[in-house]
Amino acid sequence: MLAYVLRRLLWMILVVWVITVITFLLSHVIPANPAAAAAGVGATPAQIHALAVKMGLQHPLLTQYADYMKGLLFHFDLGTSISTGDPVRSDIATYLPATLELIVVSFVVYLILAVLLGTLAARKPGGVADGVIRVSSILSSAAPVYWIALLLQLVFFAKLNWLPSGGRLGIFDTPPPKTTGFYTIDSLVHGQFATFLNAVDHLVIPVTAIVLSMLGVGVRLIRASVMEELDQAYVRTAEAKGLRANSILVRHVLRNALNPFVSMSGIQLGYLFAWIILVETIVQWPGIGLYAYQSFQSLDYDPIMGITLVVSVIFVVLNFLIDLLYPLLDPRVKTG
Amino acid sequence: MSTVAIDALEPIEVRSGWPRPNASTIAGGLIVALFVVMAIAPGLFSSQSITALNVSDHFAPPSWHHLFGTDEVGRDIFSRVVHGTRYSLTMALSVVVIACVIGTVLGLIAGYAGGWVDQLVMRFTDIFFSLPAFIVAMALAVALGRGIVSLVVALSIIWWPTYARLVRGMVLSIKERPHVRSARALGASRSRILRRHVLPFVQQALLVRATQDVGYAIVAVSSLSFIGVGAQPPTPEWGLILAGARLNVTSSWSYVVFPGLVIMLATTGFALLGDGLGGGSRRLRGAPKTVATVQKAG
Repeated sequence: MLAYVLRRLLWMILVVWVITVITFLLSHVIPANPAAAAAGVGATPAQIHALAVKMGLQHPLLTQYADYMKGLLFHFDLGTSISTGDPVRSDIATYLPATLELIVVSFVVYLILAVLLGTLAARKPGGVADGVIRVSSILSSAAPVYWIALLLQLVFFAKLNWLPSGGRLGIFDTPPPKTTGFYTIDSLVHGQFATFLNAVDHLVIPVTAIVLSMLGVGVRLIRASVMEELDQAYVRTAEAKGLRANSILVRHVLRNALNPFVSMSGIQLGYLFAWIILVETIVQWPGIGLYAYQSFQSLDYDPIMGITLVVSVIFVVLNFLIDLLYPLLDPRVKTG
Repeated sequence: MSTVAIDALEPIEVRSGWPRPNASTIAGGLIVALFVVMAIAPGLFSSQSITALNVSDHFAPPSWHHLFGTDEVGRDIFSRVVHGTRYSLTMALSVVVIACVIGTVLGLIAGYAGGWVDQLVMRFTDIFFSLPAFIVAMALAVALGRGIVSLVVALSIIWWPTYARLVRGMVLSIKERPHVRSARALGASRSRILRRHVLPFVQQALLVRATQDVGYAIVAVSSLSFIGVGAQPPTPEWGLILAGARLNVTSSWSYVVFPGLVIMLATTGFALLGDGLGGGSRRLRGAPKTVATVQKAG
């Protein structure tokens, strides 16, 4: 097991290093004029020149990369955003909690629904759950997530006016005092129940869009693995012992059936990270995705590269954790 | 994902000969044909200008004259969607073709050569599988300078590894077959064996996968354009049309609904055609489509 962990750790470090090489290449080498790109659209030649000197573009590439890495490792220096005027590092710190809240809530809802519907579908093939699978697989494989979000906005905001169009709270609402950065948790911790409901209202459209576009894959995975486990000898043994069907399902079958799901969740996270940018843009959710979108619009270079770096590293670390979790859940997985 | 990943590859069934056309192939084929005609000759479907502004006629509801209604400056949305087919489809096809070529070449080399060449190529593709592809593609497209070509290049760069893995897996099983062994014994050169005795067996699976991928590529292309790193206004690219719709959700429902339905129809068409060519309607039977394509450390 130790050798396995070490190998995964080394691999993770290698991938993180590759990510820094990519963002370095993208910011210092690939643009025709890196300083002009980084300085933004309206920069004067003098400003561009000053930035070129600051970026050290006159030095050889290796020196530039060494400086870039020094800045990253010792100062976590991701540059400065032209639009906000703040260091990208602090911008990301500001926007990250909103994105994390959206990701965590979406993933929890997704997980619960996938397990429920997947199990239902496995026990009653051809039933309601199978119908949900069919619709959801079509949605997740053919409809772009941003269009699903737009449709939800059209129906539930523009037409029915049941839900807010976007944001984390209304424009005139005060956010709860910051403890975790999650409005849903912070509002409850400080006893602001109205704010909690308000925050939940604002979560409905983005979470539904994300969950709908992932659900098809998740439900089918769970269904397939539950069906496979139900055929196993240990299920017959448990039945012969006289255990009730539900207890067999929860205590024996699901335990095993969730393993393939865990191993796939790394890939699911990849989709989630991509979709968050699109969905945040549509519902004006003040997170990393919206920050990225605004940076794309104004060609604000440092934030784009900073976001790429931070999000990629988070993604790689999460995948590393999933890889560690997997053999713990399923001892049959060989780690040698 | 890891050193174990490629060894844990499920054996890939290598067939030759196409399955008989089924409902899936026919339905998918018809939809795809419709879009191809739309891309080549948009004038057949719509004679209206896609750029002429008619502000007094903005947000017109759907009618016989404006099937999908009009947008915020009075342009006919149906015409824009029809003319946009050319951009969205060409970009998606280019991404898949470029990715397929690069992936196939590397997969053939890795699978046939084996040894350290194989290790090197596959570790390289593993790195790509460990990155959040969409985000890397966005950054890449920006660095290359926003636009259609940059978008295609960026997506191709993150897309080829799936083909490399697919092809390598197949080559591993094909290269031990009797006909390849005999060719080798007869002294055929490596490149001849690869071209004449290995590639033909890979082609079919590749084509199936590539056809399905065009649908996903359409979604990817339109998503990147939607957030502003792909096609630029006033190109009637599908994602860009929906980006316009986003700002007008309260003013026009048809602006939001119809362009999205067209994207769905196109992606579904390619998915059906791919499934049909693959010999079964996997998707319709509800088997998990991702399990077969994704390998995991085990």
